[in-house]
Amino acid sequence: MYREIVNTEELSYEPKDIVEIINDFRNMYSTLETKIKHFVQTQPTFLNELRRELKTEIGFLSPQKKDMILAFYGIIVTEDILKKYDSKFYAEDISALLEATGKKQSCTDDEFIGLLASFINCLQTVIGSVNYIIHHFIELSSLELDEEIVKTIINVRNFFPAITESYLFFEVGEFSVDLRFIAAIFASALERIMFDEQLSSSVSSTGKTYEKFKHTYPLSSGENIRYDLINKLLIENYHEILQEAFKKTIEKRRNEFEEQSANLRKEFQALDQQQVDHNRIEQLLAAIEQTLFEALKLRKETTETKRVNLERNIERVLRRMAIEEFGVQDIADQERYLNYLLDTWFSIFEEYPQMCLPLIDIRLYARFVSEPHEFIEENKQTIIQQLLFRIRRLTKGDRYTPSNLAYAFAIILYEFLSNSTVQSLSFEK
Amino acid sequence: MEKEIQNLFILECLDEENLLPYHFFECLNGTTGKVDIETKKQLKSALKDVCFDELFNEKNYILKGSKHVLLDTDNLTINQKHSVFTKNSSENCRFLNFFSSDIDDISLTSTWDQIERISDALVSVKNRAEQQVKDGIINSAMLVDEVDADFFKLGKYLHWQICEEYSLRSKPDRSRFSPMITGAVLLKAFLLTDLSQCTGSCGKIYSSTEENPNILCECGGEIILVPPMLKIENISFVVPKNIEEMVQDSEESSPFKIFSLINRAFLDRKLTLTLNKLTSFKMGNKIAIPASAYYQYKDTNDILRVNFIHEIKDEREIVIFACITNTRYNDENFLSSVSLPIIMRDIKSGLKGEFNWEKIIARSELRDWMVTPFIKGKELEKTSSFKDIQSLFTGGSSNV
Repeated sequence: MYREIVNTEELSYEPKDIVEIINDFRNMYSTLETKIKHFVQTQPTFLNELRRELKTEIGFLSPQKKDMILAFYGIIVTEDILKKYDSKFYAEDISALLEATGKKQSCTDDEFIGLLASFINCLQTVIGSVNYIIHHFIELSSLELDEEIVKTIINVRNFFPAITESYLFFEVGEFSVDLRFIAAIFASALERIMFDEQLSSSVSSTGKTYEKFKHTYPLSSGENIRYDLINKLLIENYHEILQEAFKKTIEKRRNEFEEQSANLRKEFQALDQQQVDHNRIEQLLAAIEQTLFEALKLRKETTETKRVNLERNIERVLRRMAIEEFGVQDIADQERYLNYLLDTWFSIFEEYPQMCLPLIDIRLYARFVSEPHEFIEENKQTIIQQLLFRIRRLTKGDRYTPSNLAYAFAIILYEFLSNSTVQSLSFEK
Repeated sequence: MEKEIQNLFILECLDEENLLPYHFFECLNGTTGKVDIETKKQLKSALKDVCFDELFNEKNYILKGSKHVLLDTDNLTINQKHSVFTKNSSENCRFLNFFSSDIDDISLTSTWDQIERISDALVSVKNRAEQQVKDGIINSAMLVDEVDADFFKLGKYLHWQICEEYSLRSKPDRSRFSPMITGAVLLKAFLLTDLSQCTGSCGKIYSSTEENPNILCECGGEIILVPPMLKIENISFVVPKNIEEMVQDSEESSPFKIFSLINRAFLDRKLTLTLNKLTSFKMGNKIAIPASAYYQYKDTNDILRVNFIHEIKDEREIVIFACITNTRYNDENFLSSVSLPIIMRDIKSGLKGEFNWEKIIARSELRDWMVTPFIKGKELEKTSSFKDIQSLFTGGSSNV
């Protein structure tokens, strides 16, 4: 039955294209040296404090590399490249990085910059991909699937492409890296997510985890070790922990699937066309929810194809709605289309209040951020006016049709989703 | 109702230390992939008939997989059963999969991609376990158990993808580049039924008309009743007139090599005999006729695909048409595979009527190509080019 509800093929991790990986590396590498030099010159106090704090951890490095390492940590923190990166963890990770790439004994400054660029790109990507993998894990675990099948899907369709992608960040920098180190980055990211969600009480650094992995897994490189490496180091070590940590979410999703499944069964049994249409509308609205979830929670890129698909889906929703309510598609009462869309907007704001930001006066941001839901309720009319203004502009003043309203809806939604302030805010319930 | 599905997996790994192969078997039945312990046992004892070296000893083109339809020789109707045979060799491991069911929309290329990933995954388990044996962390028996556990898990995953997820079905068999049609072959084959065969080293076939009171063959092997087989009697090739100048490798213009390539798409005889020994498979009076086959060039990774159609002419004779497409070429003198469906349709309708091979070709898009006279399989070995075939029939001179 799960096939009618979820397409399991889509619960796979899609890695970045090699060209994108090369560009990410180049961008990071080309600016890093100047940034480090600038940081060393402008932030001596910060560096001295950090040097004292990490004295033991980075003791093995030459003074010049110490400066580079400390400055780079400063850049990570001040530029918000990574959120919540503990300095002790960072020092342990760098030590492990040098060991895993065979650069502990000798490494030129230029190589060192490249290595840091590869590492930080890799770390950023892993944090993103682990979010996807956990989301896929929850979805798959909620379906009526054999546990071994779930483990295999998580391995071959999720961790495998994600680990290959992470490895490529080192390969484009011309470094060969111990795959157990990459696995340790993933393990540490998994632990971090569970810790942040208050689902576990401890988290280890990549460096510490790498030390542990070196003792438990005997091989370090080669194309043909990835499946087993993932199985032994990530699936066997974390599957049960993840299952336990996300038990409630999995249970909740399972109930939702069961409900959807029961609805579908009823739908097909009764063959009630109106009910079928209604459910279809709900399914299409779920497409909007999926876009929001991917963009705002999983930080997935919004593509033009997805926008066009969303537009088509919304158009279909409106046409079906018209048929359902009036028996015709081209209804005279155009305001009905609009009201329906406005209701949809407010249900989006309910779940993702940050989507409302582009419609709010910048002077009111502080109030909005402290109490978003109350703010939206109080300023509903102003928000509606702002929305109507944008819709009218995009429909070019024509009469409202499912087609031009869907176009306007998708454009506005995507405009909001690309807004950096919207992306940076998160209001967890 | 539970579907009749049998899914067979065989894995051969080479023990690096003793240089001896060790084998793993799995048989999953039905949509849910229930473990068939009995077949597993039977397969283990029947293994001697599966000659891995012959199946994997390929030079230029590697057969990745083939799809077949099963013909019931009792009433000459196509049984609702289809089979997919895929294989892959990765480092010191060889992996075979035989999937028999009434499912007819399995994508051969997608399935093979999965088989490749599965064999690579199993190699990774074996490599790690071998290292742990060397380090004294586990012993050899534990190594076998570990490989076996993942072999089962990955087999089950493949089964699920076909039967429950449908992700390996209803997908077009893709090629990386638009391939060209580089040649076609018509085979006149005859059905041989009521056969016995020596299971020993010689593999000699005995027909029922031969009096053979012996239970044992001259070579000492046991003689058993076996499923019918197809004997290819005559072969005609359809190729561009100047094929020798168009191909990059002389093997591609060698009639014998082309025939060998086509021949490999037929289910291996020894494998058929092994399957026949399994109670749940029982080939009985069925023969497998290829529907498509998929090969890869060893050096360039180009893909070569052969599509088959067949027509039953009478209770003994079956004609099989095979059309070869190849991603290696972009030469306009070959035909684009866009024409393939039209060619297959035209040939199929031509084969149905009164049989005149040259006329059938003349009515199809292959009309400008050279059609060789029918030649016997044995004579092919003596020929090195298509001109040689022509000269056999024109007394030594040929204008082609």
